Amino acid sequence: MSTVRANFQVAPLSRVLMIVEVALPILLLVLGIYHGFVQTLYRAGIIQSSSFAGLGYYQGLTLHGVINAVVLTTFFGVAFGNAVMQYYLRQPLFPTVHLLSTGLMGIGTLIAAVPMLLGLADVLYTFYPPLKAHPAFYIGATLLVVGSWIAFFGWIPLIRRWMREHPGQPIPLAVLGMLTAFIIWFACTIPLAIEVLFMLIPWSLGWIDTINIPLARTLFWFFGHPLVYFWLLPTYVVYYVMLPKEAGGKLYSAPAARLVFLLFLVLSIPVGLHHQYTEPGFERFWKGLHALLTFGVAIPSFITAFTVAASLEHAGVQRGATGLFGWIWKLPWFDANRPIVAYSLAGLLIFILGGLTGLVNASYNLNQTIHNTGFISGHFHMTVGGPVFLIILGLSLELFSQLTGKPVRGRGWNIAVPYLWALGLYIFSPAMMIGGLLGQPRRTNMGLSYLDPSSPHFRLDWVVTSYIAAIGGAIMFLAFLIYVGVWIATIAAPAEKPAGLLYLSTAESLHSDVPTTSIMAKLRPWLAIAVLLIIVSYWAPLRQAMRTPENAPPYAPDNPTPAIQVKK
Amino acid sequence: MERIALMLASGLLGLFFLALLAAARLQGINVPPCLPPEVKPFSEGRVDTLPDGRRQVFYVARMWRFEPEVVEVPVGKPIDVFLSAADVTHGLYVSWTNVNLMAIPGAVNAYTFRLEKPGVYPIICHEYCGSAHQNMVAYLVAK
Repeated sequence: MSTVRANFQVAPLSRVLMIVEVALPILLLVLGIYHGFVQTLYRAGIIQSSSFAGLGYYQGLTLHGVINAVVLTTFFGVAFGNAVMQYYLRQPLFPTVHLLSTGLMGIGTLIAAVPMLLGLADVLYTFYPPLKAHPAFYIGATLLVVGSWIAFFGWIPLIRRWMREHPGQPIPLAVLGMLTAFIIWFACTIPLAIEVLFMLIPWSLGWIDTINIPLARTLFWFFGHPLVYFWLLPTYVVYYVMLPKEAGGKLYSAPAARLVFLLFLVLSIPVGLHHQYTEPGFERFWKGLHALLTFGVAIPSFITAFTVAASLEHAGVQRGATGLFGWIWKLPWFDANRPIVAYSLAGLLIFILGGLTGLVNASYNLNQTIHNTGFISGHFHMTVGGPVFLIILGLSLELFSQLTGKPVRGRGWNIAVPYLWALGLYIFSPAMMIGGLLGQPRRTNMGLSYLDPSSPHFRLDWVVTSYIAAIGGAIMFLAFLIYVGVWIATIAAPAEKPAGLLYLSTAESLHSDVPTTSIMAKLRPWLAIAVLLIIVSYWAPLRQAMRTPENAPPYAPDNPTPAIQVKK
Repeated sequence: MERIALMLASGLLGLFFLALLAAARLQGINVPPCLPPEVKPFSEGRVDTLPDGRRQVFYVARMWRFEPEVVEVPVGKPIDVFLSAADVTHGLYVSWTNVNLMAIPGAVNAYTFRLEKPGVYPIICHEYCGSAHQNMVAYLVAK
């Protein structure tokens, strides 16, 4: 891997746009994280109400999901992608493309935020029909996605030019990682666009009366699982490219890292039916095939666990470690000048349990015990709410600091954030998962029934885990408050360096990188396999969903009569 | 080293997958089947007893209750559940069992199971179905 050490000066317009890309979602996150914490209080029965401080439970849950899992991750993916492309390809972004992309994403987010804040879109971030939101919710979300596509389209000519100018060199690893992330994103948002543009928007506007619900759900999960790899791959880029260098070592194997990204490209899409194991209308064979492929997509994560651990071991040995496990203690866990190490290591500790519980969810019939229970929320808070979230927090602050020239203030507090978050999460998530095994549903305002001792539906067996989850939630909220404090201190500080000097630390590979003649330096064969697998795994399930006997009219979340009367 | 790690990981996953298939084949623990599209959604809940004594419960999930709400079933005998959604998407989860089904508008879901211990089993709606979702509970009484 070629190592680039010099800073890259971001052009003035791109600098401002990138500041918006990192700061806007962090601002919205204050609301998203607040309602995460408050939800644990509702669920423990500490709040027994349908709303608190002017925000409804399901309204807040919608904001929590949309902001944390969609807005934050998409903006960060684009911002980090913009940084990676400029830094490694040594080329500026196209200003018009950049303005259009960030503008659409920002406007789309605002358009979707209005109905959510007015309580006109209490449909959660999965917006399963026939629950219906205000059309502006779907239209805003569409613009956000289209804006991210435009960012991606703008990178392709830069990558092509770099390849022309560097014959015989494989594209930089970070560029490959972000490229695969956005190819997956683009491919999987096509079924989403079909669902939203041809079904949900016309139906929510009243142009069509009814839509096919199983088909809408299948298209949603066609998008919904690859989405998690769009969340995860920027984090893997940091683990492979930046972490080994910051920890004082080298990347154990660049070829292994390349293989991981290519395997994700092939396997991350044909797996969505594992969210629909408990649904009618699909033959069991296809559910089983998606289960098998989901096990397949676990392999690149196993390789990552191995490669990252080997890289960290190498770093520990470089720092003077001896013995089998001595390297663990030699890593710069608490070096305030290397926040990426703290944010990465805390995330990796969380991901051990997050990855393993993901295998449980994927496990076909085992899913019968845990589908839609608290186990699921417990799991994904240890993936997207763990390593992914922490890398986004750590890198957002770092990018903001570089783009403004302001040094990070409160550096000791900054590295306390990921460890405190991990501590809270290791209390919250296991409590949610054990609660789930006891039958607690996810996405439910339990304080109004199951956790209310005066209700006929009171469940004594759910009390302990709900309270422990609330304790974990409080610790996580505290960690986030500290993070916000660090941001405020950093914004208030005067700039000490020239603004817009981009620097991404880059590890060399311990084992030599692949030659460009290798299949691992090519993209097309892998793309071809990916397309083939998508067709094989989705052809029959989509046909089966289209056979659904009856379509459904729209419903408002607070009214059992349909919004449109349909003659049968 | 990388190759050994890769083989170990793949081998372990293969073993897990075989265990799942074995549970499905040998112990009959499976995901819901696919009913033919001729099976149309129904809008009234009912309980049938077949000539051989087998109990069939037809649940309708609607905002925000299950019909029928309380059903008595025999301990240790097979019970067939059929599930239809009258309005939006719901979930049906019989506490402490593997009966975990989505109620999807337009389609009929099904599952067969036994309750081995006498008692009252709460049925929880576990998919968000609107503002009173948390109150959507029914009961199975196994005698």
